[in-house]
Amino acid sequence: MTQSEQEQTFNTNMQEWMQSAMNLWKKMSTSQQRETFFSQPKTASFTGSQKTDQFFSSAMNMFQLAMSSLLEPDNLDTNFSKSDTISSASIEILKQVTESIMELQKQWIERFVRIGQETKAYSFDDMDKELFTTWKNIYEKEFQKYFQMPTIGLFRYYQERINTAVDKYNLFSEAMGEFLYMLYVPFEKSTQIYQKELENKMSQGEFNNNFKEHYNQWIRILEGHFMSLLKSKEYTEVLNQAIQTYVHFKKAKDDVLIDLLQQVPVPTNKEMDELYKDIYDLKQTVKSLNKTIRSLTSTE
Amino acid sequence: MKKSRIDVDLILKAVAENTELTKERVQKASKVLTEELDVGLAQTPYETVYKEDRVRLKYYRPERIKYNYPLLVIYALINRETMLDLQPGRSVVQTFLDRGLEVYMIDWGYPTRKDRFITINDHVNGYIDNIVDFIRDKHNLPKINLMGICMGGAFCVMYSALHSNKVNALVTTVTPTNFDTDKGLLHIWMKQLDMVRMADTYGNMPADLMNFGFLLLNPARLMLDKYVSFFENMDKKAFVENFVRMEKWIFDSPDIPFETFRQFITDCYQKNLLIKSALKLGDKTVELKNITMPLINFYGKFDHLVPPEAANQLTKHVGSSDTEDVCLATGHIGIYVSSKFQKEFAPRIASWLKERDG
Repeated sequence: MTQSEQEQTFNTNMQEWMQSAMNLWKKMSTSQQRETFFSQPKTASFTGSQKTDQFFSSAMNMFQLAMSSLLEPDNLDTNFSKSDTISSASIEILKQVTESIMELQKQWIERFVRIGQETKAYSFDDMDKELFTTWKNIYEKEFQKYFQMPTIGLFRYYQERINTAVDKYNLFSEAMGEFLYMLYVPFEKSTQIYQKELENKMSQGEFNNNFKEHYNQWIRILEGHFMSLLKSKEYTEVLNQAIQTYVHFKKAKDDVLIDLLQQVPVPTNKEMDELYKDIYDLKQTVKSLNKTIRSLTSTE
Repeated sequence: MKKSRIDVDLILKAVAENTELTKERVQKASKVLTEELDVGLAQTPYETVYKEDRVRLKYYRPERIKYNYPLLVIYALINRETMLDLQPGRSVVQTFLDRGLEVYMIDWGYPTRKDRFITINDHVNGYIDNIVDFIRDKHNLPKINLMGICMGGAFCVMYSALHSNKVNALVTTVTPTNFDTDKGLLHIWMKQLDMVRMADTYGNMPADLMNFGFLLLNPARLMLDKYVSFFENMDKKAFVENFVRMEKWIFDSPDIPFETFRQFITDCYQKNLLIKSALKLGDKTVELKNITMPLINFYGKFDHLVPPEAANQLTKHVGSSDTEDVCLATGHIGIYVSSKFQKEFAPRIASWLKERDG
């Protein structure tokens, strides 16, 4: 088999695998939603979260689009035929991406196996943060290194700053995802508890027609859950992580913007801050002198 | 055994009734929301009598002046002083004027990036001291009365300790002075979260981020239930007006100058220097024992931002023998705006000041 045929076979297999993975995730997502809405809830798993599913579906779609684009005949020529080095590098990246996705998928499947385990109400120390940890580990192990590669040439300084900004953005996205998931958990737990209460009452033939009372009860449970969550060490840690990664990302992004702004005739924040500091110091001096003059005048 | 049965007919009937009621409410609300609403804040007339940088001094004159010493109100740098004059019938300022008390109130304005280097010292020994001197000169008085709100109260405490000869009587309301408590979430977060770096990257501490933080203190009530309540009452004009007025006030929030924010977080929240009389402003140490003037200290029993433990230590640390703690069964904002406390709060301050107006 020629190299071109080998690549073609690999690409076809890759596409099939991607389709299969997408179908599997889609099925899992659908079945989990049905589980939540129509049957007794069994766990506070986040895999039922449509947002999380959408996030990963979207990521998969984007990945698939990128792959399709890469596999178009014109791009194939460019990417694979003309340079053995680039071809090898691409295959290496593809391999790592594939392994990473497989690892993530494995985690997901393991999580589905665990469905049925109960989580404690008003407790947030048993939250499963495995997916976020896994994703973070995969990112740090497999992808981050590409943004930390040494840069060379005339524009190496700017390239390095852009790479840093992208890296910090990825870390922030991961931390923000985890933070948003944490805010979502009380809703899930409260709904589960109230569903159970309703089921118990309904099994005894009781049902309150006053929907406002249902809401009041649910919001009380939700508030209780939030109070427990907000006081927990886990929440503070995750919030702090979200803040820190955001600060790092914003600083890296601002550095890139300052680089860009230096090419246009407008002052940057850095330059303005220096000016503001000078103005501040001058003002303090003037105010202090004014006070001295006033006190001298009043004593005369 | 016969299994009890849920009357589905009754449930469906209730759903139908609710749907009909909601439909009617939305129709009425549409009329209410599109007609002219009275949602203005701070409608009591005042005169701007002093300006320095972004800072303004408002002067409220009563019809008949019955006090020797005017009152200077110092609000926090978070949110705006308009809360003390929310609306007719719910105005602390108006209550003071009705009693014949002259009121001055600092409007801190909206800090921009150029204000990021302004320190607590600049606020206390700069703006506040200049304003106190201006009022003393205007009235030809050696002293005036001071009233502080929240962070503004902490500024008043610092000022009174450093310039006790210029203060006749001090009123502190929901004022944090002891930060060594884990009762309020704010106290926990400010010790553990890296908010100073966040503020540094923005230039100042952004008001929107502060507000988001406050909403996160009780998301179920503040981000959800509050708006469900609005939806249920949006066909009532008076309710909508009050609701919108509060929304306008809550989200009308200036940024906090970075250097002031940094020092307040590190020296107060993290090191608790104020109550230990170890806080330094410029080259001066804030000694609480220097507070020898009469002091009345109000705080809210259910205040989740400045819990009682953070506010009720001050009177034990000052040098004054005329001190009083007043704990009201309400929250951080309820003291000033709830209808119930309109009778218990401002009139009590006015009476207390009158007794010390000799």
